[in-house]
Amino acid sequence: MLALLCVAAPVLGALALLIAPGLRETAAKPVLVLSAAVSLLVALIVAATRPTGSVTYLLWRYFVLDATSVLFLTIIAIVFFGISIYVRQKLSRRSALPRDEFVVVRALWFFATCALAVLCNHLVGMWVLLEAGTLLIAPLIYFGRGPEAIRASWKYLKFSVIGFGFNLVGLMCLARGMGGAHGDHTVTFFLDELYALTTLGDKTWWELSLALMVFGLGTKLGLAPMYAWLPDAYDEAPPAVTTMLAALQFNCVLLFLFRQVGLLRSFAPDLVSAELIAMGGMSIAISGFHIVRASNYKRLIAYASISHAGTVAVGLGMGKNAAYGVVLYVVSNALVKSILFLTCGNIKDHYGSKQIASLRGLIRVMPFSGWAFMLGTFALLGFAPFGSFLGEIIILSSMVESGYLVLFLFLCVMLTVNLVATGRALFPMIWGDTQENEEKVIEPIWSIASSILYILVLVALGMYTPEPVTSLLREVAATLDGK
Amino acid sequence: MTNLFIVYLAAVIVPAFFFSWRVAVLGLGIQGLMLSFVLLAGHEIDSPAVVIEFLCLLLIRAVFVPWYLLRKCDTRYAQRSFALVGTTLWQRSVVVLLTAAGFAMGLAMGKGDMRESMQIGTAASSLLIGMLMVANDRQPAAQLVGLFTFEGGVTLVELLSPHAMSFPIQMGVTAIDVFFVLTLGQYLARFPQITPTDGAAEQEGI
Repeated sequence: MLALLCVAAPVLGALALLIAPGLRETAAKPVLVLSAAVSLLVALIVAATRPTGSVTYLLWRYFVLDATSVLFLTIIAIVFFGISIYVRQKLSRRSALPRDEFVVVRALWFFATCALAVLCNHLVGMWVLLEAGTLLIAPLIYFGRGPEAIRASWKYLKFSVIGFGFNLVGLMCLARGMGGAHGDHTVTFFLDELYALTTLGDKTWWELSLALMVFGLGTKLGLAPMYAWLPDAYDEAPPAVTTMLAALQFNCVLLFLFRQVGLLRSFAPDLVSAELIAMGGMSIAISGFHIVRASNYKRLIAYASISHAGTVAVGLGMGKNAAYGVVLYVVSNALVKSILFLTCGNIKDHYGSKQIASLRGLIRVMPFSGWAFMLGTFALLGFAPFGSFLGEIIILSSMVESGYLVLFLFLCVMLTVNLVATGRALFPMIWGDTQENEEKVIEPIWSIASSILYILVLVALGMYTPEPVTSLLREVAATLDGK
Repeated sequence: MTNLFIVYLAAVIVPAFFFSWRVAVLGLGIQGLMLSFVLLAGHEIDSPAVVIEFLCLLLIRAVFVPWYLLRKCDTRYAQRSFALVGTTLWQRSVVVLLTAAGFAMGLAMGKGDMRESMQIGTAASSLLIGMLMVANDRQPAAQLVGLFTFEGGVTLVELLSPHAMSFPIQMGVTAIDVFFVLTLGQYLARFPQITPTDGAAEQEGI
């Protein structure tokens, strides 16, 4: 039951701010940081004390504490703690935007829904929580901003509703297949009960169900062909909200996909492999095309996120050979995107521009943010010693092992294109010559404290992963391929 | 049951051929009403979850949604060249083609069961036409109607299974329905801002 404290902390924080409006202005910052810190502490305790291989059910089996939920709960708690420090710093440094505290309240509710979704053992329950998270965060994309942000937020909402709609249709097709035309058989959405079944009923229905579920969640993850919302939403949203979308919601949706694919693969091992590989490959190619043309650094990172989602989809399509690499890549990318998007906020605050051409010599002008951005870019490009490097290598080697040589070649070419295009755009921005009158900025340490936290975890994952963490990652990887 | 699906389908298709915001919203109300009748016809009202679902469909989809949309939207804005799927003959023909495609799928999946084929066909048509409305028209108010039409299709698929959800999950689904309507209402009030681009300076938020 301790794990539910992860949810209780932000819920209590949000309720306290709602009930005591007088306190909102002064208490919003400490409540946000305190709630995030308690959630992180609880997540770490839960991860450290969970015996390897154990599965614990909570609250009438609606929630579960297994390797997958523990891993994702820890990641999102780390990311949210970093976001809370960033938001606290931003709110302290400038006069708050009108009703900023409402943003804090919504962020707390959003994190609570993410944490509950991660712990959920019921497929429709998980769907409800993720949809609630979407509806909570959508207005934050445009809050206090102009028409472009409203347009981006509306686009995000449209794609999300359609994506989740298809996913729910998929779940209902699964139910129809299980229950029969006249309800002759029992229907369940509890994951443990589904795994225990010997058959899912009518094969036509559950094959259709998986296709719809993958298409729906692919839309939410920003996979091609339904990726158009992602660059706009990531670019227009405030940095903290972008990080919530890219690192919190993305991972929760990915977990939902892992659960669904893992479940149905236990009945048909090669199901949707080709579709996932096709969607992933297309996403990587499309993102490469956009990265080459990008002139806005935040948008460039958004396009790189599409490429990451594509790599994960390809890895997931490869099956058990790539499973460990996929999990490592997912964990690393949550941190990489958090570093980059939060640092983008610091850079935009100083320069007042998101155009790559208007920035030169970042590392000299803003040393802290410059270093964080540089390390984030290296990790984004899959350089050693970051975890993303190891994850990518495992995924690529699994292709060779499985005999997908054309796909391997295609991915190598596309990753090289992405690397060259990203480097060509971002390296002058980081190391280029500064303008003569440009002075070094003294940045408060708190402005990059969250990035330092993420970098430390990221390097640790790549260089030295303690045995309990490795075994947790292995346990999660094993679930990706069914029973 | 077949009559319910015919009326439902008419409530999806007919507004697509009118240039009226009010007809579109009325269509959504009729869709909600038909969904609640489909639930009554296909399920025993024997558990709190089914009662909640029925009330949600009747009170929220059939009554609250049309009332709320009419109240929230600036009618002058919505009436300005309002068209759900565009104005050309080709765009209207696509509606008919999608309906035919939906029913072809219904016949294939229903495997001889007329009621099921009809329900799947209606649901698939509603999903496809809803997507067309979302994709085809650049006017946000029409896209919003498309999202509700799409959601109606999702609900019809939900009603395929004779098994009810457990009570907590049904409560969650109902809460999402209400939250969904309220959130879309917030956007409806902002649509006039995003139609023209004024390039106003913006503040960097948190």
